[in-house]
Amino acid sequence: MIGILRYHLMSLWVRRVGTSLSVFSIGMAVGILVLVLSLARGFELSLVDTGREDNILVLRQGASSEGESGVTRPKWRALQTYPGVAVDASGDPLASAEIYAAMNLNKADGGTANFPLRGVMPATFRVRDTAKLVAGREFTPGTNEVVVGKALLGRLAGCSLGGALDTGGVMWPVVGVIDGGGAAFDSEIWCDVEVFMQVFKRQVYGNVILRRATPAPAEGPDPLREMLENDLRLDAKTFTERGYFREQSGPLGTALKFVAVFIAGIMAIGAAFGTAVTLLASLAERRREIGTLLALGFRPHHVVLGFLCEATALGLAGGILGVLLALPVNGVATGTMNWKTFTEQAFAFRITPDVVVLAVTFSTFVGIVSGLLPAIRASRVPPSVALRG
Amino acid sequence: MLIQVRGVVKSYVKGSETVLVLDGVDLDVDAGEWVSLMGPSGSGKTTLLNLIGGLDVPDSGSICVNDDEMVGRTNAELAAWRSRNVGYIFQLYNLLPVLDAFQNVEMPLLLTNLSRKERREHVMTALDLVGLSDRIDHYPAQLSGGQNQRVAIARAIVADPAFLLADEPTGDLDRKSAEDVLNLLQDLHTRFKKAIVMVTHDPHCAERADRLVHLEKGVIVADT
Repeated sequence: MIGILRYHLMSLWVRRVGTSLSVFSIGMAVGILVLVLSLARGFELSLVDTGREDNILVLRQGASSEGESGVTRPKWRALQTYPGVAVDASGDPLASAEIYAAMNLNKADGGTANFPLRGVMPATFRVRDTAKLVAGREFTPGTNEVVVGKALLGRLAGCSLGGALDTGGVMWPVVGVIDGGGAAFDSEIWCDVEVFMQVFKRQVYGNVILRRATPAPAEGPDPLREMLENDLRLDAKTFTERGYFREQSGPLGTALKFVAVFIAGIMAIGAAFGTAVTLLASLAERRREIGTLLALGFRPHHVVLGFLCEATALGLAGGILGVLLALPVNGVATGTMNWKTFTEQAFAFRITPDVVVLAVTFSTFVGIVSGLLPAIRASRVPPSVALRG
Repeated sequence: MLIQVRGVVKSYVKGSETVLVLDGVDLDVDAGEWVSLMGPSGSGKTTLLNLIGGLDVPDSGSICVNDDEMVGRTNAELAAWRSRNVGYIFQLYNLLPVLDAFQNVEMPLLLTNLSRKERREHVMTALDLVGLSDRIDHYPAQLSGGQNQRVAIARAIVADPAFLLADEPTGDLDRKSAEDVLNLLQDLHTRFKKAIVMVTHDPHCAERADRLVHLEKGVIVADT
């Protein structure tokens, strides 16, 4: 069988114009698939990779996101000193009250969009330590200084170290930059929570973030979270920090994947037809060769497998081409509206290994499907008829 | 008896018409015998050759090779049988254009269990026999018609089949190349006692055979 493959692969090479066209049409479909999937994956990763598993986010019972939640000062005081909350070296609890809202800000390239403004306490920098301060300094409590996520630099008007943002009738000087490692914090603006509440006339905090002192059990219910949720004084709903962000990616991530599959699916059907036509045309040209193979004693299934191998090779080559075509966008930053938080979410195209594997598997499948009909047809021609050409 | 054809009938449907191509043909070919099939176009020569080689199946009748009945076998069984017993030589050589001479001759051996080294030895022996061992890496397009037909003969004999079926093997060649090919067949016939059934239009070519069988309108009219 290996020997006859040489004939089929050489045939692809000899008919390289038709081969290239098929590879190109499959490659385009795969390229689009990879682009949209990497967009979906980048968006997902920007949320899913956010936060720590041992941080607990506390929201008001009934709230599904930080923006809708409210936590009063007495509740915050109770939460801060709750048994099971970690403390730092100086004995202060690793806990922070925050408030989160979408702010309409001017974009650098004109127009406005909603960006997430998170009012935080200084402790947030210790609790949410997946976001690292990479430039400048933390804001000074009691002032309207802000630190911004690195993905916002250049995307927002005035968003640079030393610049200032304009919202709520107040200028917010930018004094630091945080790096969330491609995650949601890269798109956030952090300011002092008390200043936030004064400027925007809020009476209560939005949420509380706590670092747990001991890890949650690997399986089964988490006693600390259960205790918090069952405490009637708190009226609380809890998430792990990561779990919360994972949930936030829901609708848009799913929609992007749907778009990926839909667009690539349509293009793939076109590519499959194109490849099938190319193979059928080559089959017509090669009828005598197929007859010769049969006359030499090759069985019909050798012919089917041979043609399927040609189609598979076309699909595989198309898949590789598609990935290569899409590769330059890997890491390119973009932004979109997160419909769960109604804020602009900055993220990068991420061509991850699983996207590559999926794309190449998909293209190989397209190749095989397109080769099926020509292959079966080739094997069904009686040898005496095929030999007449 | 190597080949025994008895009462073979074969017809084709062309549009709404059924054309009777062979009408009760009987033919015997002994081991080591060279038989030429002659006759006008449409007399059924190539059809008879294809039936003997298992490339087609008769409507009725029997074809036995070495006392094995061919009629009633599946396509896959016939293909397997062909790879061991039949060497085909075609008028237009039917070499695979994308493979070089060595690879073309090697094709039938890919269906055997021979090792790479053994295959190489067989191919070189066959190409040596046809006098083309210095052209192993030439592609069909780089060879003359006569040379291509000699590569095709090497391919036909490389698996050491019981007999050769040749369909107008000199039909596409000039006089000189045709003579070379006939000499080669003669050599294979006398030295290796290969039975040959050869379809030809050319009386000069047909004379080389031990026996001349004439077909007309699907029946044998002379056997000398």
